[in-house]
Amino acid sequence: MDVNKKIKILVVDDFATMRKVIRNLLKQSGYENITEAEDGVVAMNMLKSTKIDFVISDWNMPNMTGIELLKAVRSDNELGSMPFLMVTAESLKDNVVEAVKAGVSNYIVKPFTAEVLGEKIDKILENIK
Amino acid sequence: MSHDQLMNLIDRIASDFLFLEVQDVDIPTAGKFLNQLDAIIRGAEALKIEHLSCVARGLSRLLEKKILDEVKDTATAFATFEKGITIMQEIDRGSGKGGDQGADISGFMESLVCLIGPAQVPEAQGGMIETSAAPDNESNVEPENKVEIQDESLLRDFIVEGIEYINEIEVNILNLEQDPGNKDCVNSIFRPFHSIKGVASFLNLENIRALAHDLESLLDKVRNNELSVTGQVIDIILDGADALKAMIGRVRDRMEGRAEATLEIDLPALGQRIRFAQQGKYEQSEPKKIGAILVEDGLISEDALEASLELTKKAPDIKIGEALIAEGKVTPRQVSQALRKQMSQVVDVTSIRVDTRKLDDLIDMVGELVITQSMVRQSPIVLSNMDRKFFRDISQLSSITSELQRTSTSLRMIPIKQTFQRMSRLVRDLSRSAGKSVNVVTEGEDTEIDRNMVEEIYNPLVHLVRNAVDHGIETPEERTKAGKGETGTIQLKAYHKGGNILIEISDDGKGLSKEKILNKAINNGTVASAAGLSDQDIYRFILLPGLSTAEKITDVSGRGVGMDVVKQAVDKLRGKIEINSRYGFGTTFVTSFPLTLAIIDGMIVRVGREKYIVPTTAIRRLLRPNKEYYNTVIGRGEVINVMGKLLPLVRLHDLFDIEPDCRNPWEATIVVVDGENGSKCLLVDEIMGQEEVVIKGLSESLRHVKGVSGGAILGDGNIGLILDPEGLFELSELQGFGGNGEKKN
Repeated sequence: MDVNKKIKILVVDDFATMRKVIRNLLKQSGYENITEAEDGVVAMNMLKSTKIDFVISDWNMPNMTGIELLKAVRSDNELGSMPFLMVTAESLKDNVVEAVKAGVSNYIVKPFTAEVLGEKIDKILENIK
Repeated sequence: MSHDQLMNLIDRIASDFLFLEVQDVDIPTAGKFLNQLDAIIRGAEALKIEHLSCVARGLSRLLEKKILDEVKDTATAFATFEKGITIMQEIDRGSGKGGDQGADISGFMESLVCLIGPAQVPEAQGGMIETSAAPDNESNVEPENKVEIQDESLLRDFIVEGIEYINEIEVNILNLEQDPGNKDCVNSIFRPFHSIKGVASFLNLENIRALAHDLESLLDKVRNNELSVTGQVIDIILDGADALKAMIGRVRDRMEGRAEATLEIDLPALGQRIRFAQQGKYEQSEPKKIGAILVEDGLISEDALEASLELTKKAPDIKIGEALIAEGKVTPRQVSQALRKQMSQVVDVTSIRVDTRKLDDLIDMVGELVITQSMVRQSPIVLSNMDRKFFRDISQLSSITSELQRTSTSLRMIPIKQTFQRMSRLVRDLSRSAGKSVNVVTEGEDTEIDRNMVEEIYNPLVHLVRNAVDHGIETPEERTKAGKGETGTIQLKAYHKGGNILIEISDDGKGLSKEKILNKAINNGTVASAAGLSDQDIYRFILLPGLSTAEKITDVSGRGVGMDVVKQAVDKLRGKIEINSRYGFGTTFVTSFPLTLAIIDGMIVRVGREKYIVPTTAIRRLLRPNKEYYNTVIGRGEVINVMGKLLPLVRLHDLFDIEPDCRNPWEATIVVVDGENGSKCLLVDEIMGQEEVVIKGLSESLRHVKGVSGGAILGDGNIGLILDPEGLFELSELQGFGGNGEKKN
């Protein structure tokens, strides 16, 4: 488990406060190695330039939405199997299906607790192994 | 797609399913299956195998439900899914052999219905079934999801970012109104609401979350073309944005430990409006109730209305107006007036929204037109032309242009009503917290003022109103002792007078004490004695810094920094304040503002070859002094004796480094200009005339030039700079010319 906690997580959301919220929740779950991006384009650049182990992305963002980011990640040769957790709001549950079809690793509905977030991450990491 | 390919697809999904490690479908696997099922549905439709596409759709729906965690019985779902795959294989094989297509799938479909509900099973023909994102699934948010992260810094971030986002919405919504079909626009409005909702849900700000959610769903409909962007939708969104802003403001107040501003928004009603709008229904803006009109007009109190309403409830066939008349609370005439008012509200006002920037541009252009027109008129060719018809045409042109200017300026005018309402509300809140009873009476609410001025005048006016409540109106006990009614009255009155709007704020409170003010002023060294001071002069002392006579400092006013701030703000708007007061009977502040900030009445002065515009409001008098009135005083520099007062001389040509025609004050012209700390004399060559000019801002790089506040195109087509007296004085003191400081040489 301890190895898992060291993974580098990229949090993508255009709303800075939201990034902070997620960062705090991640810290509560023991994840310390966190980096942020404010939209899909920035995230994609970061993914290509730095070593990221896990992506948590909001759906609705300017420039490049979460689903576009997901599709871009999945169609990338090197990033194709990147664990990808989509953050969504309850009113957008229909979008979840779209995300799932696009190959999202899992999704999480706002608002969520640190425990739920931790569980989702653990589950995704387990499945990869 | 060939039949073999379809068969392959089905076999593939079957084998994938067979090799699942656990008896459950995780998200990535579900995604894979969904895509495979999509392909099967497409194939089945192409080959017209209805049963197959029906089953595949059913399985898709089952998976979707599973993904959304809406399936309770996972084991059964798993088994059903397995069965579905088997049935697909059977149907496919059957049709491949050209055999019976009517394989019995009804049993399977029934079990599906059991699992995911009847409405969710698509009919063979049906396309995708609409899954409405019904707001009622909010109840899914379990209590334990309420997160304990009421972290202060998070809240603070949220407040700042939230308000930023809402401001962004307000900008974008104008674009949307102009281009209703623009999806990017809709998205740019949708997104901030969405983000606010998301964070609010984490921070347990339930009201904010709920409202943002409603607005978001409304916009979602717009996004999906289920709803078109109409004026009503825009209005609702704007109202919603306002409400959100107010709510976030309250969160900030709470956090900073301040009293929360009262929320003047009926949230449930707003929510209702939003939900109605989602169904394309708009509430007809209901005409105001008779009772409300009467209360607003100050004819009856709210309590009296309540009481009468109670009565009418008991006897339903009596109308409220009748009841009030019967009780003697109002006269029949007042009711009929109110009824007429109510009628006039129902009449539709045909109006359109226009981006204010467009309006500003229009007014700017019209200003240019007026100037160009006067340039043409003054041109020597025109002046030397003796043709009478041409002359008539020219004067026709100028009367049309000035009419056009008046009309275009009036476009930007809005009634002062809203400002008054805001102030009435403020009085209500303040008086309650001060333990006073105050009634607000307004007059001339329909007086119009430039939209751009409204915000500007609000702050100084609010300060005056606060002062009136805080220091003007006495406590009920004091009032009774003084033989007045317990309830004080604050009157807000607006009217036009000579191109200005005058706003009076009067109270029937204790009035200003001349002695107190005078004592303070003498103690402060502002004046030596009361000799030669009119009442007005004395009252005006309270506008100076550090002269608050309030004995008790409250958190709203009375720190001695109040009135001078008001004065400054009013000056900035080229306005004036006049104070009238009777000790023991109340005070009236008369503020006067120009109707618009776009035009200034100016005196055109010449120095050498340059022309400048001095705002007429700042000019005290014009004169050419006798030689003996000009002196040089040690430590104060050059002064002119104006009516017995020695005023410093400011040489405009020195400040701006121009070669003037005359250097001697007795040969030149002196303009006595009022500044904040007294008047000074500007030395200019000549007065050219007086003109209304359209103010043009200086470009960004020149904005900080002291002494000049803007520029204007003069009637003869030349450009003149508008002088800013305050800045000029500063400049003169810096350079040591005519200032109070030391002289340069």
